[in-house]
Amino acid sequence: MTRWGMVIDLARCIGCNACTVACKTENGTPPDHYWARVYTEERGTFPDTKVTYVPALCNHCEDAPCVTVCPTGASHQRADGIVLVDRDKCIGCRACMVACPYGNRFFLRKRDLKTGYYGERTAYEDAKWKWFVGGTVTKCTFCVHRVDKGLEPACVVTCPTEARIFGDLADPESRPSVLIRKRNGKQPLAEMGTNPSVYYVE
Amino acid sequence: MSATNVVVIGRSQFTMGYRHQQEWSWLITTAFFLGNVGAGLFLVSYATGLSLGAGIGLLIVGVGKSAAHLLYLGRPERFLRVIVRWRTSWISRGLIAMGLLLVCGVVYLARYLGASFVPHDVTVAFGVAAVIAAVVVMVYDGFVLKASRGTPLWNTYLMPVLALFYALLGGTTLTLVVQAGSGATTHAQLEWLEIALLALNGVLVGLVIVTAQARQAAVQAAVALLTRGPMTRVFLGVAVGLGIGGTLALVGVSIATGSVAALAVAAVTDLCGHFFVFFSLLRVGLHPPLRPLPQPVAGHGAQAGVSR
Repeated sequence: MTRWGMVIDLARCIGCNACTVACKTENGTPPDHYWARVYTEERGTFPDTKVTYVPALCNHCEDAPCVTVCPTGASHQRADGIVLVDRDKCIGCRACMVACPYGNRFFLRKRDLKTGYYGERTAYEDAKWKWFVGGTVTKCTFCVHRVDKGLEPACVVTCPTEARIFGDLADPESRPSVLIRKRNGKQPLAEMGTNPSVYYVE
Repeated sequence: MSATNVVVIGRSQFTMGYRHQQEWSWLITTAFFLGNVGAGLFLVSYATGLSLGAGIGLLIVGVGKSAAHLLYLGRPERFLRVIVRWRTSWISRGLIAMGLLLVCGVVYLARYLGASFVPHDVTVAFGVAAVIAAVVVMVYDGFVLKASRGTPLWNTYLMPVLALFYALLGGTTLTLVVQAGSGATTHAQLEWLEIALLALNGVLVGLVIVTAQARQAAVQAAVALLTRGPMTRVFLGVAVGLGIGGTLALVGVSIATGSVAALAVAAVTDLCGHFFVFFSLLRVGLHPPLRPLPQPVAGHGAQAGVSR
């Protein structure tokens, strides 16, 4: 059984946020909805400092708390591990947002869809936003529409340094599995017991 | 951990730090609060045979709590879908319990409401079912908080215990008020129960704070905001000082002097405290940073304290 996942190589990420923009372009997410983003992490004190860029997205956890707490079944998990929100079932209770340790879910207010990024909605926004329903929760889909066609998520194909590596975690010979094994991949907030499908290597 | 060391970032910020849950605030606190006191009032009134109190409890749950939830939902017209995931979701279980409480509670009160054709045995059976449902309504929001793994402060069994005993306290308080208001005999035991519950809730709130030191950093950061940060006045001043300390003193005065005015004021302070305990706990709900923060990071728009 396939389990889609991703390895993020922190040694390669340069913090360009191309993934952030690619995600917004591919999915046409409304303002303030960042399904993919890059956190800046500063450590140390001047002059001995280090900046690490930490790309983040929905971790498509195996034991997803958002799926457990959802009272309507809108948040659900496919057999291949991808966690999705059914916009026709979501009631906007936002229990999933509170339950998600990673802050990767976003509530779409009805008014958010009335105007575009720059005032009046553009033709692009009209085309993309027909998939969004006001009053519901949105999240990263691992670009399921691309994955189902055999393509990689937009953030992965866009990354200029190949810091994001996508593949089947259930296959021990897939690129992500090999990377996790060889470079001691770590899951974010593993202590939460959610078993994320996203790993970080340094 | 000092509150000023807690780096809290906003939703749109791309800096590593704690993130506030900003979704559950006034309306959800109101819904939890009304569910607690309404179901508590029904339960305590049932136990003391006060039908008026039981009816008011049902109204608080059926009208107040339901309205707060519906106002909060993004798609309120779909609310009935909530019942489908009762196997895993405490929200589902809570809504089902609310429905059962309302239906069984109305049948239990049928004879009191004038429907004398309803057999006595039926009202007794439905009364028992309503009490069971009331207990679930009193406690389920604590389990909803407990199930929120992303907000470690809430991820403790202290939450359902706190919800249960605050609901009992609110129910006892309102039962005393309804008894006094309707001219019914006041049960002296109820006033002592009120004092015992106040003391117990004080201990439970203290446990939430004290046990945080042994839990993960996000819990300690949340408690720092609660006790030494922007929520301190609300939490320590209103919820603990006024809600528990002030109410204890006023109930003591009421017992000593038989003053109904002192009892009425005690009810107000108690309910204020109840509301703001849960409001404070919701407002300081923090999601941990993706990776541990060895030191607070300044700049990049990061800000200390509650970001809103």
